[in-house]
Amino acid sequence: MNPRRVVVTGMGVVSPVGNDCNAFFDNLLAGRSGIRRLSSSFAARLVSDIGGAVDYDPAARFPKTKLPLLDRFSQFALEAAAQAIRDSGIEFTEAVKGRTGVFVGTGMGGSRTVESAYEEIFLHGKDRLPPYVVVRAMNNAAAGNISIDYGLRGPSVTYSTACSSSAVSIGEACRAIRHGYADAAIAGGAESLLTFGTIRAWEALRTLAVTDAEDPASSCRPFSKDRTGLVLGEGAGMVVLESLEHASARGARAYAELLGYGALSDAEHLTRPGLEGQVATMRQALADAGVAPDEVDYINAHGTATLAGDAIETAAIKRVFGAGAAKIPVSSSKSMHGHLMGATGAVEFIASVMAIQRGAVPPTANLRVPDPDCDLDYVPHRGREGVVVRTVMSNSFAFGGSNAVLIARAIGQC
Amino acid sequence: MKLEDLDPGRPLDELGIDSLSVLQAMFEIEDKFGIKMPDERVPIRTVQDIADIVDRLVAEKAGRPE
Repeated sequence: MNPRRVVVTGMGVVSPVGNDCNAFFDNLLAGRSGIRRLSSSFAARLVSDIGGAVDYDPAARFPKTKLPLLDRFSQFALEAAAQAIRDSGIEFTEAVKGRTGVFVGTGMGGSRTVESAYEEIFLHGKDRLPPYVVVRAMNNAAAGNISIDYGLRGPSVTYSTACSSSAVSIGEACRAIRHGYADAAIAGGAESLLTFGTIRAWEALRTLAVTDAEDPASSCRPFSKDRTGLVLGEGAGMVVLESLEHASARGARAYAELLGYGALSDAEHLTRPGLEGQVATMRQALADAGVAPDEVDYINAHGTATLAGDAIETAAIKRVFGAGAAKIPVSSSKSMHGHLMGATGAVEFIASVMAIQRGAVPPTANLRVPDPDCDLDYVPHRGREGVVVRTVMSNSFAFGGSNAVLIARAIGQC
Repeated sequence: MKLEDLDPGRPLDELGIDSLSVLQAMFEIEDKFGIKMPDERVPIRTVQDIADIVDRLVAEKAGRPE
């Protein structure tokens, strides 16, 4: 049996550069960074006191009775899912609910809830905790809440592969639809890690960017020779995926076809990216998509702005695309929204699909100093509009060596 | 629902209050009255059950020598 084709029919974003897809993409194109000095009280104690925080009011979004049940990462997930579902126009009849799955990626789930609960008992001498700590903190809280809110009874699963979590969740949802385990899926990821404990833990790894004192918004500088590391961000990205038949039967508009997924491991080192693993994963995705390297019009790079990571990814892209690599626009939108960890794969996949839809390629902001080890067309500073973008690749390479690559292609009316 | 319409004998689940919500409510009640629920499990099925346990614990607290 030929696997079924899978299309993207809805998208939703909560991010440091906008809480809907159009605002998000407009800001990216303009090269506007959402990275700021953190306003939290603990910021003064941090070395890297910057982050991509989401501007949003939980009390305006959720009823007072529901909010105590939701960690911030679940709130973001629900908001992005609501946008994507609305955008897709999908109608959840009983039959559709039974055939729709929820696939969510997150790195550390409700760790914000865990951190504040531990603060209470370890630091403030409390001897009891509110009863919702477990249900807020569990990694599958976001998926569970989406499934419950919409009555979706297909598989509800959570993937935690650090920085590639939500590229994996989208890829696995695609496979589930292809092979008939579901007709539709809400897929993506959510993360909210801008807490004192978590940022401190990241500081200890010495991979966070040094704050640019004059212009904190430009602290994340992927592929620039003066890059100093990644900037943590928070947010969520969700898409509605459907089998092509399912989408056509209801006359849905599709943004793109999710054409290929690659997921392979470095099997080398916990933190150092592996060149061979990245090459193999991009090739697997291309083969899965049936796309030749010279058909790719845009690559949304993993591009975290670490010294080693950007150079290795550049080398991997050159290996896969050969001489053609120089002609492909490659950009890191992390330069503006930061590294959204478990949400980043989904948010960047959405940026890539928006590139198809808008015929425009988002830039790499803050690329100030060329680096001989990073010599591709990174679309510096401002987006490139009025270009034909048919086929896009979105790279996600995670700690632990879990690589995931997604490929999407333009499609007309279903 | 108005407070005066609340029948103290009515089971909480009929009011749409599930076990998780009861736990959260008791947590807030503990704070409000400065009491602590005993370690043994006290069955709470109705609004009256909540009132009884709160009365008991408040009385115990008042009678306890400092």
